[in-house]
Amino acid sequence: MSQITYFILGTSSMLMMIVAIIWFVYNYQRKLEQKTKEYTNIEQLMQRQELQPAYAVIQGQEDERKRIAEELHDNIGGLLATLKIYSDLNLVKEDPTDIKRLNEKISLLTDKLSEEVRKLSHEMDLRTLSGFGITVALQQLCEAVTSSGKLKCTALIELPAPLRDHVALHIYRIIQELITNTLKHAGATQSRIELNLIDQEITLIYEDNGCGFDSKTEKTGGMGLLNIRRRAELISGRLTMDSSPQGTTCILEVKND
Amino acid sequence: MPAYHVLAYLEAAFLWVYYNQLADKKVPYAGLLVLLLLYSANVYLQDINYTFNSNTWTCTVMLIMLLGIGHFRNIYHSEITVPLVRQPEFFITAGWLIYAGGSLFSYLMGTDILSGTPDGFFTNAWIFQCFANIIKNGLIAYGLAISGITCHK
Repeated sequence: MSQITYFILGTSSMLMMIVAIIWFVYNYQRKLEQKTKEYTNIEQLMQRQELQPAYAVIQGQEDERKRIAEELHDNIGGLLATLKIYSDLNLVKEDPTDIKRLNEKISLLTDKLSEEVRKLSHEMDLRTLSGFGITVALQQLCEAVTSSGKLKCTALIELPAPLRDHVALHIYRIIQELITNTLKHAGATQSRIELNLIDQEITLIYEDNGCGFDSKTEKTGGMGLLNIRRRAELISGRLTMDSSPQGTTCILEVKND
Repeated sequence: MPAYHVLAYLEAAFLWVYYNQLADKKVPYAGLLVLLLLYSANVYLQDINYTFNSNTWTCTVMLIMLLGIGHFRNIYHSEITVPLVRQPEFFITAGWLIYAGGSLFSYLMGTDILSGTPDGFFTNAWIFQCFANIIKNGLIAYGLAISGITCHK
């Protein structure tokens, strides 16, 4: 072999090794970058998945607020504006016939306004119930009642499994009715809601420390109590009501299947 | 010179065991025995007790190249991705590969260079050999230094 061949052999073997090392380092770094990118993507994906339910709740709340704002502005706002016009007119009119006619209109508008507010409130209740479940809906109801300062309401809810939609709705309405009765008639300072689900058997116990009512006379008379009984029948529940001057206890037992 | 025959075997044997341990493999006793027999036969049959054993040293550097490249392959396919600057084995292997690449020529022509009087172009062989050796020593020293740091971490 000539000296040139030796020279080529000598230099190329070392250069080849250096090139091989550089090639390896380059490829390894690329692989490392790719893996880092993949890990970052996975982390971002996980974060997004973790945050998605929270975002959904926030988005839902935003949508709900927008809807309520629209409803208030378009419907109730319009009715209030009309009411204001009538009442302003009432102030300047002197003819008793006109005044009477305007008063009748104001009365009708007030009724309509009351009905609209009731409908909106009803829809909001339903949305809370379907969106967040009966536990949250009842806790919100209790908080709202307690914050009014008229009644201290406590809720003890233990539901290991979700209730069926229509059962949850009727139970929620029964509780609403019971609270309304307590507020309107019982003069109570405290009320307690206990809702449990054990072996697919739902038990609702509602108690207050009010003056009570005569269950025999109220059986046919009171619309509120009639509503409660009708709703209990609709979900095939067993309703027991016990009232005394020391307070009222209402027990409802329903199957969740 | 006989010590140089033993050195050729020991270098190959120690590196073979080292890379096997890095790859969590057993010590290649059979392979080491075959290598010993091969090296001994080369010295005995060629009757080069007191001259440079070009074949065995060439075989040693070729084995180092194979082991080093094999280790690079293992690093590349490993699931654990640690930056190369924090891998002492990478520096040590790179050192050995540069040494093997730079020495191959010297060892191929070792009988001519070391047994006779190197003159003319053959003197360049030492330049390759020494240059490669210096780089190897530097890289191995750095690899060993950072191995202490990574162990502490």
